[in-house]
Amino acid sequence: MGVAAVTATAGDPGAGQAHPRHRLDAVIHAPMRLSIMATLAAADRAEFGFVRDTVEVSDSVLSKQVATLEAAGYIEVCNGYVGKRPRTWLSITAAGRRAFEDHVAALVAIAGPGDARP
Amino acid sequence: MSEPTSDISVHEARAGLEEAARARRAVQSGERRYWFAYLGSAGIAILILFPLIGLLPVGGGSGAVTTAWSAAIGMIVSYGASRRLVRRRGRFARHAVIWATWALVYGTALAVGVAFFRGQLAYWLPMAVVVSAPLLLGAWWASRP
Repeated sequence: MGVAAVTATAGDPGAGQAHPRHRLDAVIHAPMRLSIMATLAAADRAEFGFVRDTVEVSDSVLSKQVATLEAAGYIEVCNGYVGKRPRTWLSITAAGRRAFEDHVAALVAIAGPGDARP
Repeated sequence: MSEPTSDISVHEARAGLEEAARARRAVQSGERRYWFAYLGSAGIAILILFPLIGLLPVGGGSGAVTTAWSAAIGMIVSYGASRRLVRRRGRFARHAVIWATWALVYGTALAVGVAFFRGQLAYWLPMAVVVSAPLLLGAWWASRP
């Protein structure tokens, strides 16, 4: 089984280098953050609780990962109200979507034939 | 370029892709329930109330039914918005098409019915099905990938 190394960092997708591992994004590469990004990539926006349940983590763990992704400029956090109930909405940014798509493309390249883009 | 921080195997890459696919399915599933509850209840409300608009005499309940129906849709839309946890990418256009189609069908059926078929069960009952169809079919369409 082939093994590649994650070398890229946020905002440094390894352009110009041949091996797909150079296109992996170190911020998204963490499994939990990949799940969060995959959830948000499929949505215009998602409520915090929905993402928490989808990723299957606690509120505090999700908050920490969200802060990391927000600091990288990959997601946006919007607080508001629905009626009197406070809600936190998460959405992926344009830069986050590009980074996620590049990361997935690199995973597809590493995974080899038979693995289509999700 | 930074130094390598970790290794990734083919198996891990595949696991990542599977996780991304699972998350996408979760979003689809979360939205499917919303669309069926929201548009399904709106469709059933119009199915029940639309015939009453044409069958009840003017001044004898027709206006009240129209008001009740408008209030019911308003409540359904408001409640649906409050319960919506995820908004899937690209659904806005489908949502707009569903309500625009419904408005066209509803307006036409109502105008024709009020002008020519007031009080005639044979017109208003089948038309209730026709008028509710864009919402009921829309619930199915909007929930599709």
